[in-house]
Formats: sequence, C-alpha cells, structure tokens
Amino acid sequence: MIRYSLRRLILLVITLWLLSLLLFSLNYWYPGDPLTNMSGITANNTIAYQQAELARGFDHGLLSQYVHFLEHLIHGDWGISLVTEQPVFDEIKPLMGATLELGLLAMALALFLGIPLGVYAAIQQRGLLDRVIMGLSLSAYSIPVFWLAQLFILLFALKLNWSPISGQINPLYAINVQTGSVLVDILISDSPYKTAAFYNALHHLWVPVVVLAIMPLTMLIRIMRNSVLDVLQQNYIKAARARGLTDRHIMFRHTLPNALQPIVRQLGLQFSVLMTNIIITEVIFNWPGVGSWLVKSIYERDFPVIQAGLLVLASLILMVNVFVDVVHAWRYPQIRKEIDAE
Amino acid sequence: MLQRIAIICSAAVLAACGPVSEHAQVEQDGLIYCSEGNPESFNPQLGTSGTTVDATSAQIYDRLLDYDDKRQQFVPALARGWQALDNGTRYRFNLRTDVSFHHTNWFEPSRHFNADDVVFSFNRWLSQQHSYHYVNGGRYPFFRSSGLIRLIHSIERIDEYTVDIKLNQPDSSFLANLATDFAVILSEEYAQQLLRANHPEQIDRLPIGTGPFQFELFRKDFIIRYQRHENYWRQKPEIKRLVYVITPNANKRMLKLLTGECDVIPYPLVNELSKLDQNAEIEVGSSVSPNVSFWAFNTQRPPFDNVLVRQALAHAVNRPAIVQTIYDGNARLATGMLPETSWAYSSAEQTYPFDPAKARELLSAAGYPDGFSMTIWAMPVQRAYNPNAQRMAELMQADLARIGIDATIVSYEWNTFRQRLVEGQHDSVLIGWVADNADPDNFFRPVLSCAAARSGNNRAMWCNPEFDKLLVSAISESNVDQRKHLYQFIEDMVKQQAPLVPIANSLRYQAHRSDIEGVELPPYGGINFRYARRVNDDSL
Amino acid sequence: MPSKSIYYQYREPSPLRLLWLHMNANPFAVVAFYIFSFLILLMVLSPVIAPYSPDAQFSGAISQPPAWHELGQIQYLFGTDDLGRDLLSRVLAGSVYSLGYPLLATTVAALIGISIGAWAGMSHGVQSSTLNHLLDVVLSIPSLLLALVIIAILGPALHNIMIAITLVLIPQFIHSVHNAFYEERTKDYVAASRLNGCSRWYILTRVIFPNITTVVVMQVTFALSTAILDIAALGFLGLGVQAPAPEWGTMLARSLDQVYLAPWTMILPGVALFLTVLSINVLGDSLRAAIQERVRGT
Repeated sequence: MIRYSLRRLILLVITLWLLSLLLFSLNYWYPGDPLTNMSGITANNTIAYQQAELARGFDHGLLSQYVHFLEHLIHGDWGISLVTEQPVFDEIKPLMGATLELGLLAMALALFLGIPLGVYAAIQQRGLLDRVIMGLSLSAYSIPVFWLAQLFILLFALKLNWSPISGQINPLYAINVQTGSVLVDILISDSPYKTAAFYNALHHLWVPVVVLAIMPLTMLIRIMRNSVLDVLQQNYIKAARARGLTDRHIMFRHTLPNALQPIVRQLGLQFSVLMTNIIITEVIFNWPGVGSWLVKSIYERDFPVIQAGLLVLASLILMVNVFVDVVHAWRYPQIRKEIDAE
Repeated sequence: MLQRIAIICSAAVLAACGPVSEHAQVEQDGLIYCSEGNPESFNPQLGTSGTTVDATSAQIYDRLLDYDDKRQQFVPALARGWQALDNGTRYRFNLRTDVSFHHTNWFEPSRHFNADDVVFSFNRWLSQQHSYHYVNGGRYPFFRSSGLIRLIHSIERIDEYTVDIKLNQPDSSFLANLATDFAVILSEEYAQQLLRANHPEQIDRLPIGTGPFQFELFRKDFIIRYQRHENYWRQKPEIKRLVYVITPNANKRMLKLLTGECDVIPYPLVNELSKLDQNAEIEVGSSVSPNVSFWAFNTQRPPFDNVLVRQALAHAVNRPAIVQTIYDGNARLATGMLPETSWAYSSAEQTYPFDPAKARELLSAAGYPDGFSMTIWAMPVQRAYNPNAQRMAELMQADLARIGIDATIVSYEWNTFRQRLVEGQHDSVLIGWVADNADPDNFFRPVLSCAAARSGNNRAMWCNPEFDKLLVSAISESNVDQRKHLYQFIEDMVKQQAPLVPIANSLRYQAHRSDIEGVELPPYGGINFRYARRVNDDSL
Repeated sequence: MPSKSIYYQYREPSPLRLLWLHMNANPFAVVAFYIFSFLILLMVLSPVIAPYSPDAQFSGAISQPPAWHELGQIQYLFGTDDLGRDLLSRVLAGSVYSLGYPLLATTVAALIGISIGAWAGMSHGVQSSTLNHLLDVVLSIPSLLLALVIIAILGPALHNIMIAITLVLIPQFIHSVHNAFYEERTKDYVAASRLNGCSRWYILTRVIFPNITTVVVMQVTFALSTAILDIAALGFLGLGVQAPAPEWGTMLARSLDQVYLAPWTMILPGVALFLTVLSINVLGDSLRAAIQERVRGT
C-alpha cells in the first residue's frame, strides 16, 4: 500500500512539475511582455519593473528565469493582477472557498441521491421505474449545463419565485468574507442575524447546487445500477442467498460495499466534470469563485490571474484524482495487484 | 423524481420556516442598488466616469456648495456662506465647524473638518508640487477639461474656518464647477496618516469623507458596502446600510428588480420599461439628462484619418432605425451634438442621411472600393445616452456589411474599456457624453478639443487647432445670439469633419421597487440616497 | 452456373458489421442514429431550406413570439429575436458552427491522434506504464479548461476555437488508441501474423486496426459530443465564435438577456443542442454496450 501511495505521489509531483513548466511557458506564449505577464508589473512602473527583472532572474537565461518563477510560485508570490493591482494569491483564497463550497455540496447531493437511485433501478431492473430513471439520466446527461441553469432560473426564480437569480446571500446581511464559503463565513461571523443569514444563504445556494449536481448524479446512477447488477451475478451473493440471509442483509453487508467500488473509482472523473461545469455555473449565477474569476480574467487579458486560475483549478483536479486513486486502492486491495502487476 | 420532490421540500422549508421577522428587519434597514459597473476608484476627482460618481460623490463626500436644481440656485454645504471679493477674482468661503469625518477601522479622525481639508483637497489637483498630486495617476480630467486648473491661481487658508480662492480672472462658471460632483472634500488628517504609513495610494481605495454614508468594503465585480455615517452633519439618512451590487447586465438587473434582489436599478432597458410599468411593485422614474450618444472614429488611425472614409461611414448607418430599435421611442434622433434642451440648439439638420450608395461612392473616392475591416468598440454597460451599445453595434455591423465593411465588435470590462480607449487601441467606439453643466461649451470642449485629446477624453483622438480657436471665441463671446451663431458654426464643422457621428439624445431612467422613495437623480449626473427610505406596508 | 454456396462457408462478420447488428437490436440506438443523420442532413441543406438569411433583420418583427402563440406570425415559425432575426433560420445556419465545425475538429483530431497513438502502441520505447499513468492524470484536466487557456493565448475567433478544440481532443485519441493497440498486440493472432513474416505496416493496418475500429468509433462519438459542448460553452461565455454568427451557445448567451420577455429565444437553440448531444450520447452508449456484449460473446 505504501509503495503504491508513494508511486502515486511521485506521479502527482511529476505532473505538478509539468504543470509549472506549462505555466512558465504560457508567459512567453501570451501576447505582450513575459515579465509583465508573470508579475503583473507593467513597464510603465519603471522602478518596480526593474526590481522585478532582478527578482525574477530576467537578467539571466531561461533556466534561471524558470528557477525564480518556481521559487515565487512556491512562496505564494503569484504577481499582481493587471486590472486590480492586488496580489493574486490573496485574492484567490476566498474565491477558492466559494468554489469548493459549491462543488462539494453538489458532489454530496449527487452521491446522496445517486447511490440509492442506482440501487433502486438495479433492483427494479427492466421495470418501469428503472427505464424511467435510466432514460431521464441519459437525457439529463446530455443537457448542456448552461441551458439547464437558464431553464432553472426561468422556472424557479422568475416564474415560481422560489429562489433569487444570482449571488451568494442577500448583501444586506453584511457577512464578512473570510473563507469565501458563505455558510462557514456566517457561522464564524458575529452577525446578530446568523440564523436568518444562514437560511438566506441556503435559499441562494440550492439552485446552483442542483444544477451542478445533475450531471454527476446521472452518471452515478448509471454506474451504480450497472455495478449492483454485476455484483448480484457474483457467486458470493448466490452463496449468501443460499445460506438464507435476508435480502436486506445481502444488500447492505455484501452487495453495497462491493458495488461501491466503481463509484469510488469514478469520483475523480466526476470531479473533473463537475469542475468544468462549475466554471460556467459560476458565471451564470454570479458566484464569486475561481471559475468566474478565470473567465473574467480572459476577457480582460489579465495574464497573472489566468495563470493563477489555471494553476489552482488544474492542481485541485489533479490532487483530487490522486487522492481518490489512493483511497480507492486502500479500500479495495484487489485493485492494487492489478496496477502493480502491470 | 425523488430529486424533484426533494427540491420542492427544501424550497418550501426555506420559504416557510425562515426566521421571517429577522429577515424583514435586515431588509427594512438597508437598501440594495444594483449598479452597472465597478467604480475606477473611490475618488471622483480622478475620473469622469459616471459609475465612479454614482458610487462616491453624493454618498461618501460633500462639497463646499451644492446646486439646488428645483430652486435653480447654489445652496451652502460644507461652506456656510461665501463672498466674491476683488471684482470676482477672489472668493472667500466660511466653513462649517460641526462637520465630522467618517470613523472607520482604518482611520479615527481626531478633529472636525476645517480649512486644512479644503486646502488639501484643492491643492491635490491644483498644484503639481503637492505630495499627493501624482498619487494614483495624477490626471484630473474634469479639472483639466473644465479649465478650473487654469482658472484658479491659488487657495489660501485664512483661519481655521475660512478659505480664500484666488482666480486668474473673473469667471461666472466658477461656482457651478465647485458644485459639481467632482469637487469633493477629502480629509487632510487621513492623508497625513497614510503618508506616514507610506501608503498614500490607499486614499482613493479606502476613502474617508464627510458624506452621509461611509465606505465599508469593495469586492470588485460583486459589491460595494456602505453604512450610515452616524455623526452626519445634516439629517442622518434613514437607511442604515447601503449596498451596491455590481450587475453589468441590464436584463439581469431588471430581473433582479422583479424578484426583489435589487431595490433600485439605473438604466433599465427602454423597450422593457412598458412591461415594468404594468408591474405594481415597480416604479419607473425618469429625468431630463443633457446627453448625446455618438459613434467616434479614431482619427489617428488609417483609414479613419481620411475624412472621406468618416463621411462614408456616417452615411452607411441607418440611424433612425437604430434609434427606433434601441431606444424604442424613448429618445430623439440627434440632429447634432447639442440636445434639444440646450439653449444653443437649432433644429437645422447637422448630420448625414442614411445613404449606402453615397457611402460606397465616398469609399471608392477614398481609395477603398472593396471596403476594409474595422472594430466597433461597444460599451459593456448602459449609460443614460445608450441603453445597449452592444446591440447597437450589431445593428451597425449589418449596415456596414452592406457597403463591404467587415466590422467586429469589441468589448471589455468598463474600466479596462475606458483605459484602452485612452490608449487609442480602438478603430471606432460607441459611447457618449453627459454634460456636467448647462453651458453648450460642455458638449464640445471636453469631447473634441485638443486638450481633451491629450487628457484622453477625446474618443476620436481628434485635434484640430481651428476647431479649438472657434471654441475659445465662442466662450469669450458674451452676446447670447452671437454665441448661438458660433455654436451652429461649430456644429457644422463637426458635421463636415465627422470625427464622430451623433446618434441620439435620451432621457435618464431609473426604476425602483414601489416601497422605496426619496432616491434622487440630479440632472447633471450622480445619484443620491441621502433621503432614500423604505415605506412600510403599515404606513401605506 | 458456379454457385458460391457449393461449400457452406460461414463468414465471420467484421467487427464493425457485428457492432451494427448489435445496435440494430436496440431501438433507442436506431432512433438516435436516424435523428443524428437527420441533423447532419439539415446542416448540409441549411443554406437551401432556411427561410431567411440568418443575419436578415426584420425591423417590423422585433421579438416576435413563435407561430403557435396568439401574437405569433406564420412566416416566423419559431419567432424572432430582439433584432428581428428569424430564429429558425438562425438555428439552421448555426448547425454549421455547432455541428459542422465540431465534426471537422473531431476528424482532424482523430487522424492525428490515431496516427500518434498507433505509432506509440507499436513502438517499444513508450510503453512504460508510467507514461500511461501520466497521460491518465493529465487527461483528468477538463478539456474546457485547456481550451480556455489556448483561447487566452490566441484570442477568441472561429479559427482559434477550432485549433483549441482540436488540440484538446488529440491526447484523448492518443490515449485510447494507444491502450487498444497495447492490448491487441500481445494477442495470439497478432503473434501468428508476425510469425508468418508480415511487415509491421501490414500488421498495423490489416491485422490490428480492424479489431480496434470499435474503440475508435466509440472514442469518436465521445470526442464529438465533447467538441460540441465545448464549442457551445465557449460561445456561451463569449470566448468562442463571435456574434453575429448564429452559433448555438452564443445564441443561448444572448437569450439569457431576454429570458423574461422572450423566453422562446432560448428554447430552439437549447433544444437543438440537446438533441444533437443526446443522439450522439445514445449512439456512444449503445456502442459501448454492444462492444461489451461482443467481448462477452467471444
């Protein structure tokens, strides 16, 4: 197990290093001056520019520039935004919190609904409900997330008035942004209206969360259904049944733990899908997260911000994938053999 | 299925079980204004953008005097009174003694407002030797283009509550300029504190003023939060919290007004106003606004340096159709730069008719028989003069395609957009002008003069010494009929040279939920929440 | 008359043909196949059958509701947008951008990706599992994110989007083709051909390739739906095909502005996008099922 985890970690480090190489080269591919793209300091600001030239090794060759780039990256000096002139690293923290809050809640919702629905569909195999669930999930999987978000806004915000159109919370609740995750911020704030604020935040949250959850949800249902069907064919289930165990017992003690294996394996991929959708969803719901920040920076050609957004999103996805792999291998030892044997 | 039921349940729970009374209290005490963009800074001295003025002038700051447009006269503000001395070349202002600055986390004032603050605020833009002059850019476009910098000789502290301003020559527009949104008073003590802390640039980011609301927080692209200034020297505002939610998309703004996420919105879409009127919860207000929207060509760039090309483009676009589609009858087709409300206005047609054949002819004459490709920069925000520049650009794009010109539409976030305009990166731009005061000069000098080209406000980058000479002769003329005649002459020159194509003059609109009252829209820009309040259902 | 059937000869259907037989048994797959073919046909014929030019602005018919609405007019079957452009014509013309260009991008990416993948699968140097794992990890970065970065470098324009999407799709092809080759090349029938002295080229094209066509076809459907969604998403974000081109994502972004007064403007482009992606996904899904069954069958 340790050997396997180490291998994965080394792989992660190599990938992150490749990512840093990519980021470094991007600075030279973007239009404009590489130093400005990297540090956010324009040549108009002569003194600061000259200082940056020295600090980032621009008086030496490419290799030294890369070493300095890496150094700055690791120290959290990611340059300043070309638009706001604020340090990029400081801006990112609350945005990250907001994105993670949205992503984790959506993932939780998808798991919470997807697993029971998948099991249910498997039990009812080829029954009416199975067909309905599978049909719905295949079509829901094909709905572009931006269209779905629009339909939800039209329906829930405008026609039914069940939710607001955009934002994290009614801004009159003067909740100070600390972690960026609005629910956490409310809990640690000293607002006299905590409960009301919390309800208000949930009121804002549920539509984007549902929009985001739908695609992983449909995938999880399908995977879960197929996996339960597979497991039910296995000999050990037949053996358990032959021993006269109850259906409940077989389901919860024997089928589910084994059927969950492909779900765990898929979580990494689902997280990537979720992150793609989160970029678009944040733009639509005006959510102060990394995704909307990245898109805005592309409009504004704010290169230090583009890099930071890419770095954060990509490394988050990579790390979650490796983490999921390790957990998967730890929980299901039979997989390790397969991988090590290769 | 289950999932849908879950949604319905959660929504029902949220709607029914939320602590309603607390929520109502929070709403009762605050007001949400969905503004159309980010302010450039929190100091209106530094810019001319209406968005910055809306977010700062009337909220955070006060001026020496205000203009009351109902009574059409100047009224005292931070100055209790003033006298013109030495044949109008010296003005003496007696200041109030009971005005306190904002108390915030980042600044605790130790004294009340006094003459030092006035001297500091004026010298910041007046004197190049001033330690704050070059902080955050050092351009003061309003003071430069209105001529105040050249007009004022010096400012002098007489005693703690008296200030003298010396002028180079008598000028009747002096007081009017002091009453504009740009001539705000900052805190000198705060500036000193920042200088000691070696962070002078913070003065325009974490502002301190004497106004009815104090700044609390700004998150770019999301919100600006203010709270009531508890020691405000005039009557305290009724609302405790004021929040600007930055919502550049006009439709989203309107939808958020409908769902109650916004209490007040600027620049509602005109073609949807009629629908808003039918909604009992929404009220629409309008005010006369002296403005003009125009399409300016970057005359520094070929082929737009060729007057024939500019004339061809002016002929190529169907302005009446554009005005009909974009403003839906809420605006007048511009007949020149000056709007109908100006005294120098004449009904004579001073623009080019829609004539694609003529346009093609002119293009051939200019050496572009096959057309060319160009960019149209369209503002990302709504302004009183143009509710939807992007859509206008799309209409023009179709018109231009007919004479063989391939136009692409370019847009950036509002502040980036303006910054790049100043740098002259555009081929042509759809933008406009709202006058700062009632003088016709204000429609030409800040828009098309060489000084404006240097300060970056001249969107056509057009500098014509002959034109500047005409402007000077017009402003120094005292006979009204003569002046009017001169302005017609100037209009003709704008038409002939076509550095820009005037499009429309429009009213300025604002919409708010019907339980809000007292939001003021002064005609020369800005928005004022000092008297805003929320009317209870009980009191209705 | 010499008859072919003198000797009874059972002809093993080719993998593709086998796939087709499996697919035919699945009614959903058949429907999806016909819908997809119909969409392609509409796209090819769109210049002929669209009632108006996609950019024609009818100033007399601004924001006209669809024909079945009481205010609708029959000449604008699905209504018009806020500039008075006929929505049906725009959606038809938009299919070139939203279906045609993804098809092109997928084809180019497939040609490049398959060649590289096949080369990598046949050569010995790059077979280490580490490289494979590395590719695994890199591919977990969403294609949209990579496309966004490429757009940031090149700037939003049609040809740049095509470059971005094609570049993003290539690694996926390499990965799947490489894996498939890797699996096949150790099998006995390949060894047999090698022992027979077939050239590498022959083994590559005649022996292995027919057996991995199914994988390629599945990867193509997957890549196509990715390309369609990514191009539409970029258009929606305003970073893709630029207005006034009637690309579906761009149209949807615009319709968000009129969602209250003219909700129909978001229906037609959305439905078109949904139907296209759905039919491709159903096709891909049934392909996968068919492949699984074939594997089980052998």
